[in-house]
Parts: sequence; structure tokens; C-alpha cells
Amino acid sequence: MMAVVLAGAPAFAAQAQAPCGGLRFESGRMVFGRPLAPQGAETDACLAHVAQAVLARPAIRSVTVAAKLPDADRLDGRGLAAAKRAADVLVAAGVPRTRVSAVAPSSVEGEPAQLQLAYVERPAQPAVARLRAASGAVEAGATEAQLLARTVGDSLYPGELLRTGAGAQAELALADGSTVRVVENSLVKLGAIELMANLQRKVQLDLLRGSVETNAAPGGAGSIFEVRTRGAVAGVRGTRFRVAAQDDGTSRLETLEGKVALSAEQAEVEVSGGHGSRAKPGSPPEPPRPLLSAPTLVGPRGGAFATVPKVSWRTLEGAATYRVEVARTADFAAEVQTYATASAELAIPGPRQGKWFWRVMAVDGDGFVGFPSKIYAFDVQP
Amino acid sequence: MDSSPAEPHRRDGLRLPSPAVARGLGACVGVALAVVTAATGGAPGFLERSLYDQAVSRLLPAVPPSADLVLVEVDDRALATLGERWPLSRTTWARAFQALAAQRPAAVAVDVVFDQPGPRDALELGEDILEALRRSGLTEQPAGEALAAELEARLRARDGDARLAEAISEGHGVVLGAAALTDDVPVMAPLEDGALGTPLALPARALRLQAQEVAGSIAPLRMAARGSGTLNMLVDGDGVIRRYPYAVGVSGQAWPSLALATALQLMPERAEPLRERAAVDHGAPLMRLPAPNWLPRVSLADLLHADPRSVGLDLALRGKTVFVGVTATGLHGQSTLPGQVAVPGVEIHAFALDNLRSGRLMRSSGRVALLGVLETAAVLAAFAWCCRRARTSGAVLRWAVTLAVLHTALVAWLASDPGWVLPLLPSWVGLTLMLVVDAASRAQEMGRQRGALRRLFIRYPQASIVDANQNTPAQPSTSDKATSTPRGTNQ
Repeated sequence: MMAVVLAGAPAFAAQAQAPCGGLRFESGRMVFGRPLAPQGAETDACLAHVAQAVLARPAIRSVTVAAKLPDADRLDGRGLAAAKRAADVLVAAGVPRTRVSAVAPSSVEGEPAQLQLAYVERPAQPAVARLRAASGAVEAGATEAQLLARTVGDSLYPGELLRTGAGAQAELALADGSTVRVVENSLVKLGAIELMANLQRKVQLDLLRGSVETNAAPGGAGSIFEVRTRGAVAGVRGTRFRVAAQDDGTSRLETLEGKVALSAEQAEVEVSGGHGSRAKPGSPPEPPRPLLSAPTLVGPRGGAFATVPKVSWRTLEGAATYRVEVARTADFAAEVQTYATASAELAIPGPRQGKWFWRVMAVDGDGFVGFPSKIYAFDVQP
Repeated sequence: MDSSPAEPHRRDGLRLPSPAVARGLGACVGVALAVVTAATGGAPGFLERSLYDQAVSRLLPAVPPSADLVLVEVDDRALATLGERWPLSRTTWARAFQALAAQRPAAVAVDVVFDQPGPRDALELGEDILEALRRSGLTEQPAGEALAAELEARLRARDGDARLAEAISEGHGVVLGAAALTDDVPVMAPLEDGALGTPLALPARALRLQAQEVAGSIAPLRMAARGSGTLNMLVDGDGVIRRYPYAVGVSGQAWPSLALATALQLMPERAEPLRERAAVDHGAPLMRLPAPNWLPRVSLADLLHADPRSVGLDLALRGKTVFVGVTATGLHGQSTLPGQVAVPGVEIHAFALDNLRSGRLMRSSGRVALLGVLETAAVLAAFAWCCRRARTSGAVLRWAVTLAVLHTALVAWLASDPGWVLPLLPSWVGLTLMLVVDAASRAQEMGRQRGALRRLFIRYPQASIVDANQNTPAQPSTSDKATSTPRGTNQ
């Protein structure tokens, strides 16, 4: 019997259908998926979307709208009029007027007339993290009621919440060089990240729900890297670990490399690489237990297929279920989809095309996730 | 002195190599120096930098003044008049660019990087008050509404970054400064790929100045400006700037300097020749130097406080290429050019623009460096040939001096006319070494002949006495006796 639980819906970003064809915030510029015409219904819809995105980013202090028109139109005053009209749309959508300005600079010869937008962020509040990869519904905001969709490249600030929806994943690049992978259905609060001399750093993340996998950058003497859950604190003394906050209040730690200290109820256990531990509500951490080893994959190990092939691996003793991850990139950062199954094979659902990478992790009866397998790929060419 | 059979053998052991080989070794040293100079980026080599500095600053004709370049400087008087410290506030910069735009210059090149937003604490406080005013319902009354409108207008006027962006966009073409983040400029936040626009179509990896990343002004200002250009200089090990990097390679992409970006904006129809010139000498040719105070100057204080309809300002700025930078004491970079100290960096960008558009570039690498090696080899080969033909040391010396003068004249002419800088010292060193070696060889040869004569006298003493008697005058002088006595005693 093959029990398949669809843990993540495919995250196909409908970029083309988005109001601006996609919107990214890069080095003070707003980058649209397609050129933004000086006026029109599509432009107004995009500007309204931009206004919402700006309001969702409290660090953005001002927005400048530039209408780049050919010189004949610009010198006629139509450039500035178009820019002011776009600024009015932003103001009407809720952006304070004091934060919006309009300019009509000269355009590069041959370029089509278009609107460009740039912004200034508050300098006194440095970003503590950047969204390096995202698939599915990834939202962030000051409170859970103010969460708004975020895209790759967005900056995140101290105190902000990051939420991943069902089937979604996000990878954060922290200011200290560490990376944090937030899996589906998780909620993380970014605490303070302080960088001091001699590589000393202090990083605090609050895992309110779900699970994160952390690859902590090496820090100097006296560094602190903590992932807090409701009942426990995982303090990094190594490099790679996972922390999960279950709905029943249990905190679970799986250390893949190095050492991590799990503390709860005034007790602490040191969990070295290849081991895991958990702390139930009101209880001290359990003694470390070995994690399941990496499953051995059977296939496919590559090659092209007309339809999505069935993936299989060897059964691992002690495994209650298996977690299968499928992604577009070998670092499992883009379009990651996760499936759970109790058997040693899986028919990956959904129509798909192109190259996909897959790997498997064994999960024991208590939910501890073992080491990931090797990464194989298959190419679907209908 | 007794002669012994061992003595000639001991002298043979001390004998120098043959004259031709020794001269060849001296020539090799000269050619090797030329090769090292070519391999390390071309002339001037590190031994001849001060000589080069003296030559270009005193002997080469200075760059003639340019009628269409002008410097708007933030000088001591401007700071005193404005009552501000450096850096100037964004609202002051906004006023300055508005005043500049009113004079309609051809282009404005800014030797400043506005890499951080201006302070906004007061603005945010004002926005909070405005928001509170609106929430309180006071704006429903006429007085409250007027107050809110006035507050909003004043907040808007004091948003320096926004006003500066507006002022920059009003100008015909403002080129802002940027910085290639080399090891010595690590303090600015780098920009992401493509933030500076479109890179130059130049072989980036071959450029002399390489950097990891590039930083620039904040995005609204970049968007409002016509472009950005890097402000980096190439400083030699002795702290002197001899080359100007027209382009910098950043991760496989080439970005223009302030001078090149301004030139491309001023002369888009000549973009291709300008890029070709900028690529000379791996993107960083040697600079032709102007005379001190070459660039006409207008103080920012005059620009801000003069009547916009002032005829003087109009004459000074309309249609000109304006460079904006700081020259106040202690604030501008203490750049040292050959023969000039403490030159403001903004002036160097102006020199570089003038050199680029007029084609007055000096090159010393590539084919010119190869020519330098060949010329050095030719001079030394010619001297080696002359040494073989010359019968006396005096003749050899005359050939050496003649070739050195010819070499110096050729190097000076190539530098001043086509602008090819060839190494000077390697030929001099080679000639000197060959001259010394030749003199030593000739001295050794003389000594060898003297020894042979001496041995001849030992073997035939009577013949030598007879010869001496035949050559001795009837009444020898005391001094002659004294001179001949030791010979007789020895015999």
C-alpha cells in the first residue's frame, strides 16, 4: 500500500498574471516584470500593487516616480505630468503624500517611454536578513495581521514575522552570513542580529510554528546563535541543524553537523552531529538519540522521461515515513515541493516539465527527520 | 720581482670573460630591465618615475586651457557663506543643482557619491504630527486644514533626497559619481548587478583597474541622473597619480569613469572612438598634465547667492561642461600629480575628460612596450658593434654618449609628439654597464700586453739594456734616473 500525503501544493508563481508582471525590490530600485507604460489601466493596477507593497515595508521611507519620456514630450511638460499622475495613484492607494515625489529625467535615446520607481530605505535600521529564495506563499510583516506577500530579494528587519504557507519554503540569508531555510507552514520572528568585532555575533530567531533548517556561519569567540521555540532554546555551537516547533508545544532538534545545545526547563543537553533530541512541554530535553541515516536512492538517477517518473529508494530500518523533496535547483531553493509517503517509492504528482532534482529523508516514529539522501535529477520532456 | 711559472696561471684565473661576452652581458641587463618594465605595465618603470615626473611636468608642453570646462567648487568660502559643514545637506545640494539647471550647462559631472539617504528624523517626526493632526479631526476645521496643508508643504520641501532627485532631473544631463570597491575603498554598500545601467562594451578582464563590486548614489538619484561614473584613481606605489582609469572592470563587466561617462553623454555620436581611446593602455593611459589652475572656477557660494539672471554666471556656465566637487581645505582628496601636489580629485576628472576628447593620451603598454624593448635592444646592439670597431676607450666613450643622447632625444620626441612613453633608463643602464665592461676589458688587455713586454725583457735583458742606452739621452735628468733606477734594480 502506498500512502501519499500531499504536503505541498506546487508553487507556480503566476508572474505573468501579476499586476506588474512581477515586482522586486533591488538596491533601491523597483524592478518590474515588464516595462511600465506612463499611463493606462495596467499602470494604475500596477501602481496600486506597488503602493500595497510599499506599505508592507515599513523601512521604505520615500518613493520617487520617474517618467522617462522622449525629450520632445519631456520638455513639453508631459513627462512631469505623467510622473505626478503616477504619484497621485500611489497617494490615493495609501502612501503618504510627503513620501512620494515625481521627476521627469531625460531618457536614453531609443528607449520606450516608461515609468521607473525607486525608493529610499530607512538607514538607521539595517536589514537583518534577505529573502534569498522563496517558493509558494511567503509573507512577512510586523504582526501576523499585517503579513503581506514578499518576493526574492526583499529585506527583512528586526521584529518582522515571516510565514510560509502550505507547500511553501523560504531561504533567508542572515546578515551574519548564516542561512535559514523555513519549511512549509512555519512562522518565524526575526530577532536582533548584532555583528561585533572579531567575528563575534548575536543572532536570535523565534520559531513560533513549524520548522527551520539552519546553516550557521562560523562565529568568533563569545558568539551567540539561538533559535527559540515556545518551550526550548537551541543554541548553536556547530554549523547545521534543524529546529521544529510542533503544535502540541514539543520542540524538536536535529543536529546534522557540529554541536547544538537544547535547553528547556532549566536543563540542557548537548546534541552532537547525527543526533536529535526533543523537549516536551514542561519537561527537560530528552537524551540525544541517533538520527536515521540517509536513504539510498534507487532511481531515477538522471535521464529524460516523457512523463513524470516514479522515484524509489531502499527501505531504511527504523523509518516510519519518508519525506521526498522535489525542486528546480540542486540547492533546493527554488520551487521546492515536499511529499510524505510510508512506502519506498513515490509517483510524484502533477504535470511538470524540464529538469527536477529530488532527494529523500527518512522520518522515525517520533517525527525526527534523518539525513538527506544524495540528490538525483530527472528531466521531463513530453 | 722574481718571475715564477705560477704567476701567469694565477692571472688567467682572474681574467674577465672575453670583451664581447662581457659587453653582451651588460646589454642583456639593459634589455632585461626593459622587458621587466614592459611586463609590469610599461614605462615609466619604478626606477624612472621621478625622472618621468620631472620630464612631463617641466619639459612636455602643458595642456592648453579649455574654454568649455568649468569647475563649480565647494570651497572654504562656500562653506563659510552657507554656514554648513561638509557634507552639505541634501536640500543645499538640491538648490545648487536647481541653480545649475537654470544656467543650462551642456553637462554636469559630479565628483560626489550620495551613497546614503539624508537624515529623516525630523521628517518622520513631522509626519507623525501630521498623522496625529488628521486623526484628531482638527483638519475638519479650516484652521486645522490650513495647518495640515502648511505642515505637509514644509515637510515636502525639507525632504532633501526627493528635492535633490527633482533638481538633478531638471538638469540637462547630470552624471553622478560612483566608486569601484577596491581593497582600499571597502566602506560603501555595494550595488547589485545592473544598478549602474548598461556596462561598457570593453574587454573588462583586460582593464588595469579591477574591483570586486561597485557602489553608487542612492537609487532615486541614479534614476534622475543621466548616468554614473566611477571616481577611482590609479595611485602608484609612491603615491603619485600618473594614469587615469577611464574604465574599471567589475566581475567581468566594464564601467565608465566620471570622465568617460561625461564624454559619452556629451558626444554620443562619437561613442565608438571615445571607447576605443578609453581602452588605450588597458583602460588607464598616462595623463598629459595641465598647468596649475588650468580650470576656471566658480564658487558654489556665488552660484547659490547670485541672481540667476546674472550675466557673469551665464557667461561662466551656459553651454559649458560643469564639474562639481569639493576643494575646501582638508576636504578634497590630496591627490598628487607629477610635479603638482594636493590637486583636487575633481580637477583630475576634468583633465582626463579633456585628454580623452582631444586624443591627448599617452600610451606605454602593448605595442609601445614592445617597441621600448626593441629600441633598447637596438641601442645596445649598436653600441656593441661600435665597441668592436673603436680602437680607444675615448672613442668608445664618445659612441656611448652619442647613443645615449640619441636615445634620450628619441624617447622625448615619442613622448611629446605621438604620446608613446618608452623606457629611458634600461638603455642608459645597459650603455653604462657595457662602457664599464669595455673599459675593464681594455685595461686588462693593456695589462696583459705590459706583462708580455715585461716577460720579454726578462728573457732578453741585454737587448733591453741596449735599447735603454740607445734611448737614454747623454745627460739624463735626475728625474729620469729616478724613473729608470727601479727597473735596473729589479733587473
